[in-house]
Amino acid sequence: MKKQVKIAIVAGASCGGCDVAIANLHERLLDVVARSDIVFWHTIADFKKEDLEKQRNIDFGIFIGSIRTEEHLELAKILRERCNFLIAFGTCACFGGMFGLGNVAERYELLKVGYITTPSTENPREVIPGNKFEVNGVDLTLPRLTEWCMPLNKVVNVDIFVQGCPPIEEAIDKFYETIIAYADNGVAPERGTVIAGGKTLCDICPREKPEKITIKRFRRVHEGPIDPNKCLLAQGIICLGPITIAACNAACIRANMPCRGCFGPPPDVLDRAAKFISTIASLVEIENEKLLSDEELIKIVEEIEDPLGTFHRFTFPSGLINKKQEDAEE
Amino acid sequence: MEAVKEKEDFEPRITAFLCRWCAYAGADLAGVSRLEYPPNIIPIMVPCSGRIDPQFILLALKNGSDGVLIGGCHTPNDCHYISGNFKALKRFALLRKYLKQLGINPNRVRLEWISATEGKKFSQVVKEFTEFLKKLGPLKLR
Amino acid sequence: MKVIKIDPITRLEGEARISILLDDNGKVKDAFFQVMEFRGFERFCRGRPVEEMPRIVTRICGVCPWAHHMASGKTVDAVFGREPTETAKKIREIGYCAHMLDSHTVHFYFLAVPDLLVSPDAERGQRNVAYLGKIAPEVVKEILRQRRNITKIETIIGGKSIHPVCNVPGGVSKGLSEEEAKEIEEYAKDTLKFLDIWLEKWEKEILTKYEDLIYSDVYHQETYYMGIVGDGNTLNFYDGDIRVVDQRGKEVFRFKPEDYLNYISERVEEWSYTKFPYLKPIGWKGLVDGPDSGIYRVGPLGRLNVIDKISTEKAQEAYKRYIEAGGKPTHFSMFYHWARIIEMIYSCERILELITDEDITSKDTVNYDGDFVGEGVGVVEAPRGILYHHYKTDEKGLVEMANLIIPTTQNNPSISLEIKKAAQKLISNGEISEGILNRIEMAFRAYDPCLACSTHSLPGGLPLIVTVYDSNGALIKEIRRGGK
Repeated sequence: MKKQVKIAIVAGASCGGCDVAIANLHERLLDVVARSDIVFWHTIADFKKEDLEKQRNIDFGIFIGSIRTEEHLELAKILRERCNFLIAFGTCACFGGMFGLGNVAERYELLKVGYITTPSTENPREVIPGNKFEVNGVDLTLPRLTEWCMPLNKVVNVDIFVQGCPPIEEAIDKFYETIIAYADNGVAPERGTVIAGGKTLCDICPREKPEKITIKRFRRVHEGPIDPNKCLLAQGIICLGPITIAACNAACIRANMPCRGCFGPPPDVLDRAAKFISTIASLVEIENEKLLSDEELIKIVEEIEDPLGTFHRFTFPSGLINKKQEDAEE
Repeated sequence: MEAVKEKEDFEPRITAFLCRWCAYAGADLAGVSRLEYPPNIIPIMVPCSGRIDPQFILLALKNGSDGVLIGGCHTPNDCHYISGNFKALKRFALLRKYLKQLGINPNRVRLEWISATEGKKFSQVVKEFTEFLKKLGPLKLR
Repeated sequence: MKVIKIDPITRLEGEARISILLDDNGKVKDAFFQVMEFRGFERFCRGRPVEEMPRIVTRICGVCPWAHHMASGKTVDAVFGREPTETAKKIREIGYCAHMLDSHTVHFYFLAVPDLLVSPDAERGQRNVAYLGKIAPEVVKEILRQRRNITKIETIIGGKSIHPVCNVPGGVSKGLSEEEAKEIEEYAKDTLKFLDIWLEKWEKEILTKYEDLIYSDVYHQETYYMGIVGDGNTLNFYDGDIRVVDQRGKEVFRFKPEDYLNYISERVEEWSYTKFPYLKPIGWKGLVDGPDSGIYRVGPLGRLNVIDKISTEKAQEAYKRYIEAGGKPTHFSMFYHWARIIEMIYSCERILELITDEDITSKDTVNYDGDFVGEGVGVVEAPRGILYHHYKTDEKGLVEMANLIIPTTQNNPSISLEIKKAAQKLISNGEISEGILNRIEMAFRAYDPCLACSTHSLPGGLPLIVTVYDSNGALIKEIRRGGK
């Protein structure tokens, strides 16, 4: 009788895409279900928080999403205490994800825009949810925000990382094989494993790459036709291929759109935006550097709009500097 | 009163990445020539300014530096490795834009071309940069 | 006062709990639908290049990313003053109909139907698709196989089925080849056959078995309804006028996307991160239904109430039977599930109409001509209801303002109302059982709420201000406490 693997799937600040990605194993989902005992997965099953708290010895705890409220912090700790292997599943859990861009402002400002200043909001008493709220002595206060959005490994120890927004079927399959190897043969996955491999997207990109990529000027994606066969960087279009792990099937590239790095960086990168600044700036007029003045070169580089929102769109909380600062101006 | 005192006592910490062939040699020349400059810099020799990874700069700022100085060979022709200095120039320009978005004063990172014979320039740059940072105040990262 | 907390509510997308307050006699005094999640999109989208927005806003929701991608695409078209090419519009609509199939099958099979195919009163561990997979593996396998095909259509058009990328200002980034068009056609034909079986199952088995539940007054609201209508007031997910009808089905408003601010206002309450939209001209009368209250419903139920007909054959026949059973307008919330099946049938038929069009394989997929406007409003029918995106940019095309009105947010007042009603009618003498709690949850499940969407905004720790008003709305007292 093959051993059933005990799995819990818990979400922090998540868009739900990773849940759908797991459901999108399609027929394979039945294989997963047959071998596992899913003890918590609020999107699909009716187990409540009290059921999760009562659990012990969960084999694999899968955490989806980033840490954005005190509730998420609590759930992360509850899961860590009760599981053997904790998995950060998806780019949000691994790096903070898109919601990490919320770190461009303090919580109060994010709040003010949503509940007071948007044009359709009518809130004359300037009510903001999240404050202490009681009805007839019953505490109904909503969970507060954490000061900043964080990836999972900033609050608990993580054993396995599955990158992707969301992770692709092949990665989830590989992850599933890891689980089964453990259940059948007791083969424990190595802690710190990244289920994705070590190469960058450029390695698997199907487009023609010139011998030397040189950028004479930068183009945004709306400015004109994009040649579907040539390297995007060579066309002056910012593409995060060089700083993105090769864990997708270059899906966006094949759809004739540049990579925006949603699968996160390859291992051993300290700050992905800084790394990409290095790459993209180097390529500017690389064949003609000596023929242009310093000012002319700088002018081309400065055409790049929004480095923060483009290079760190999915990974800001994992950067060396991961939140908006308030430094002095002269 | 306290805040003013803090500023008067404040000694900025500057990490200086200096390329071996030009800027570091220029710094040595300043030393050998007994030119005075403030002791606020921590010089780090790199083979070429093109070796400077923007991650180093962020690390320096994160780990206590109030300013970062990048010293390289003059464009267009002085770089020992031909075009390393151009890489530094372009990266520096983009990094400044990024720092601004982060809410860090981009003038905390300064790029200068300093040749091996420019000992005087070196000492002047360090003096000016230290003064500037003293007025600006320490980098207080959240 | 005692409180029962259903924490978290399950089989939906998002984080929420229901808090039910009981008085000393065990009667339900009040019930709160408390959405607990926060985002911040409306703030952190500022400064982003606007043509990137269609790929940013998909992360509002991984269950309906196409809805945001499409609304955003249309908004960005308007910002750049570009009318998409005819081929681009058709490709977008095909992808979007495929998404309607994707999203509705996720909801119908994974989230909602375990209540009906297993039982509303089944034990906690059995009310899910995994258990269904154990007791009826062939049925579930076929559902999963269909979903593989549906998500393949999305991948062909959008690059990825979750978080598509194809929308650019003025069109789509790539066209369709002959092979791809053929593949899409085969899948749509197959799915249509599959849906025929399920429509029959619903009409002949599920409707009879659960007649009491579906027609009960627990799951019944008389609200206004809002949706997009195509020419002749037909069902249209992608484009058209916005129509609002009242409790009798009479049209009360008809407007264009750009005028949305005249018709919709959003209120805020302390106990939920989701706002409470209502019809501005009617006004807010609290959590009540009826013609004096500006509360309106959107989504499949809303859509099938505001249209007069469906332009495709099978769906129109099904629609006629639906109206016979529920009335027009239909106020029974459980009819949301039936409406979803009909919309899925329409989606298949619509894909088959568009995919056989002669210029579907044209390479003319982007119109680069247009005068930059710097502002735009884009509206589509998301699977869960009508969705509004509105952006303003600076002269460089960087976002300065983003406003999003989300379908589930628009349903939030009705959901809150329905939860309270369900709790009050189902709980007496403080007696609760697993089945009763689940039936309260079934009240929101019919709406297929998408809470990540509804709370794209973000709160935090604030100074506490307590204001006390008398019954005339005059301020009596204000108490402040502390800084951040």
